[in-house]
Amino acid sequence: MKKVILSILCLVFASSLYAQTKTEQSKLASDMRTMLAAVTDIQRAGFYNNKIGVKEAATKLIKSLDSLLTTDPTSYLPNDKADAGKFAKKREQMIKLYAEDLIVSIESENIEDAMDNYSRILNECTSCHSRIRTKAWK
Amino acid sequence: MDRRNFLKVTAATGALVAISPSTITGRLYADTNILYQTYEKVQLVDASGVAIKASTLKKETNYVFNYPYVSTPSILLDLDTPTVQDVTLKSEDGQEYIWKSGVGAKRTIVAYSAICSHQLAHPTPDDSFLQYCTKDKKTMAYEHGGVMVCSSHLSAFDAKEGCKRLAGPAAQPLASIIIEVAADDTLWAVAVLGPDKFHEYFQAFKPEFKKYYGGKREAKNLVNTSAKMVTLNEYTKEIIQY
Repeated sequence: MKKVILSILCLVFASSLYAQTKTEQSKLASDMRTMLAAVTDIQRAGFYNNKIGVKEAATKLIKSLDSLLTTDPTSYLPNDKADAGKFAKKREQMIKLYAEDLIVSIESENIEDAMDNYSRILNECTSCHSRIRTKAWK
Repeated sequence: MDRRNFLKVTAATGALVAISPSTITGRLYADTNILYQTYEKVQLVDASGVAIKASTLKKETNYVFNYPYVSTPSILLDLDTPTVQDVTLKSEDGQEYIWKSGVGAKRTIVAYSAICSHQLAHPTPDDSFLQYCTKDKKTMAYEHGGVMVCSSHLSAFDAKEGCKRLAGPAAQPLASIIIEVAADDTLWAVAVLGPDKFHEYFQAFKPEFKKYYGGKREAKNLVNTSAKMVTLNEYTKEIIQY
């Protein structure tokens, strides 16, 4: 009987761990989609000279970075790229830094700087994707 | 302009050039696009301001000092083998230049701009993705250690050959910092050789300059008189090397 109870407990523990990992991954995937939408929104609002829109999209981008910034990158990186965790984390931090500066630039009506920040954000995104998803490009 | 004012302007310009020749020579080199630019000659000192002697350097240790600007990091190394002499290097746009060799009694001392020629990764007070990987360590960027490695996109550069590119996506060498060893064994930084990335660097890291130096304008101040040099472990909180 003891063995049966122990086996059931182990099974429950393992499944809850698996479920938690799956939940974390789906949250990250959802946040990645939000990041993509936010970046697109910054561009759209920028093209239409919509300062409020740019600011809102940058704020959305910063919020969507939260789960990435607080998650260990090795949990979502492909196995063969697990070593690039700190690199990925640095890119996330830089995106946040540029997005925050983008808001400051918009508030001070320095549009040129704001758009420069936007291009730096894109550069950080592609920098990471080109390293992490090398095979996907081929 | 009357004669008196003309004489004043001429005398002031002459005095400025006499005090600091690099204010004019530097500009001239930059305008002709030559891959060599002199800057203020500065002495390398330790954290307490005492001049560092070449003979006290530890072998294969990353030393960091900011030169020629207060925000542009450079790495100085005393390699364990003599450097190669008269290495022909090529910039991304095809310009060739000659890297003479390391300096010091055994030509083992070298210094390079620690801004990656690919995507400008560089040591900051928080982390460092670019540094020399000692011979006894492995790196993913190259088949063996003993090379400069940028762990952002895994470029490797040969520290004993003017930091020519060995592997990875970087398209050109790291710029060299020209070092002089004086008769009293003190170390001086005098110029930059090769394709530096300072312009792109100042464009790219504005928010970072605010964080570390108070702003872009402050970050663009030139180093003068002396530059503090510390080990990379002292300069940064985290060394990241793949």
